[in-house]
Amino acid sequence: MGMRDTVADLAAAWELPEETLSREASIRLTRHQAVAEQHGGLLGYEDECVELRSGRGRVRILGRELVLRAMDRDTLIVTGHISGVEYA
Amino acid sequence: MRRAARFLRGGAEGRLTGADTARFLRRCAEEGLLLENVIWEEPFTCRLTLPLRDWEKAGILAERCGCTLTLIRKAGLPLAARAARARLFLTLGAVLVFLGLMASSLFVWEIRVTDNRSGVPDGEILRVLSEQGVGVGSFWPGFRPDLIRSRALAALPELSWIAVNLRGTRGLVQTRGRVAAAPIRDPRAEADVVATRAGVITGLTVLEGTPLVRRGDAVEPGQVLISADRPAGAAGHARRVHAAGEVLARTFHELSLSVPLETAEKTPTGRGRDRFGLLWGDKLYFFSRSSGISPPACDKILKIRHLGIEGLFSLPVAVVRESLRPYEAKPQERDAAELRPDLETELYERLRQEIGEEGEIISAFFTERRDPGLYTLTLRAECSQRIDREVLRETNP
Repeated sequence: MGMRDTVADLAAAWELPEETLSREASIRLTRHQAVAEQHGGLLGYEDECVELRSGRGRVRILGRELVLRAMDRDTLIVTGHISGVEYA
Repeated sequence: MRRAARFLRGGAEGRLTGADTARFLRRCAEEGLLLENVIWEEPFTCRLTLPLRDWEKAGILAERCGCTLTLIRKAGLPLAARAARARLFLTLGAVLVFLGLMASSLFVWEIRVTDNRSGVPDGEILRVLSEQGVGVGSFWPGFRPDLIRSRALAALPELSWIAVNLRGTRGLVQTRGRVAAAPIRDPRAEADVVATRAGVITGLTVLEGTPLVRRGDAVEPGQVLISADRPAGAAGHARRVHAAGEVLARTFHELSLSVPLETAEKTPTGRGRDRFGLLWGDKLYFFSRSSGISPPACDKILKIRHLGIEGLFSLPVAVVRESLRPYEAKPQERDAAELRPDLETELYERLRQEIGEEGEIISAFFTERRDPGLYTLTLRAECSQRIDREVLRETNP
């Protein structure tokens, strides 16, 4: 049982969102837009994939014609035809 | 919304080229720089937008990340304000012109009569309105329509209705004339029927009174045809009545018109001269000091062009061009044959006015006469028309 699982268990026990106790990125998806909050930085940016750091792991936003619409320290907005999100 | 916020804070659009653009983007985010619209143009080149104030910082970061950041354009309110500061007088002038336009739109700078259905001349209407405070330079928010209308109608009894419509800074006046009431016929007033012109009686219908003429009689203008005096008889005592009836007569008319056969035709000589000026309100100022008195044999043409948007807005200033065109009056002969058709039409028109709508032309012919330099055409006509007219005894004792 790792640290990540412990935090997840604690959040579940206290009925809190997991991202409030960890450094994991919170991603809100709509059909053509993904808003990532509390991201740990941009690792890669291409037309078909935007890769972010999330806590100790990585998150990939996959799709077509992806555009980095806005980005600052906390929030990142990606628009385009989003097909999925991968955690690694 | 995002675009409006970007305009307010100012934005710089740039092109980023480098092997590790993601690193630059990450560093920007770590430094708290807001990146917008990051779009790939080529494999190692992307276009992005930054707040104006972060542009220099982004340049340093790009250099550290081994990338090149070049400026495409800058835009936004801070830049506009900086440009306005640099052109202080121009900005002030623009603001003053704008304020001036706003202030001038509260005044009437042009007033004209557009729809005058009365016999009153336009100038007379404008003069009366000017006395009521409605003229060039009037402050229109201070107008009191009811007061203006009632005073103008009192000053111009020939009008039944007047309206001043405001279109921007233009006042358009519309009027309607008063329809004269028909005279009231008093059947108890003593009156005779008299002849309006000379003629031979062809028909006589007496409705009231005593006829003094018979069919076939020749009468003179003003002669009493039906008398108000009614003699005593079987019906009762002598009394005076309001005579009435219709009297038809053959009348003879002679109408003449003369026109000179020699006229003067203007022939331009030389270019003349122009001078320009400004019409401010109702005051005219010319740029040149040359005299405005035109020499003899010279046409003076004044063209006034109001500044503004036609039909919507008019400025208090108008450009005036005064042209003086000298001419020479050359005598020219006119052909009588060409003049005759117009004269015939005019004479027939006058004849129809004399005999009225119910009158008929029985026969008519023209005779012409040529004197030195003068052509005279005469119409002689025999007509059938009513010649009766009621005249009250008080006015015709």
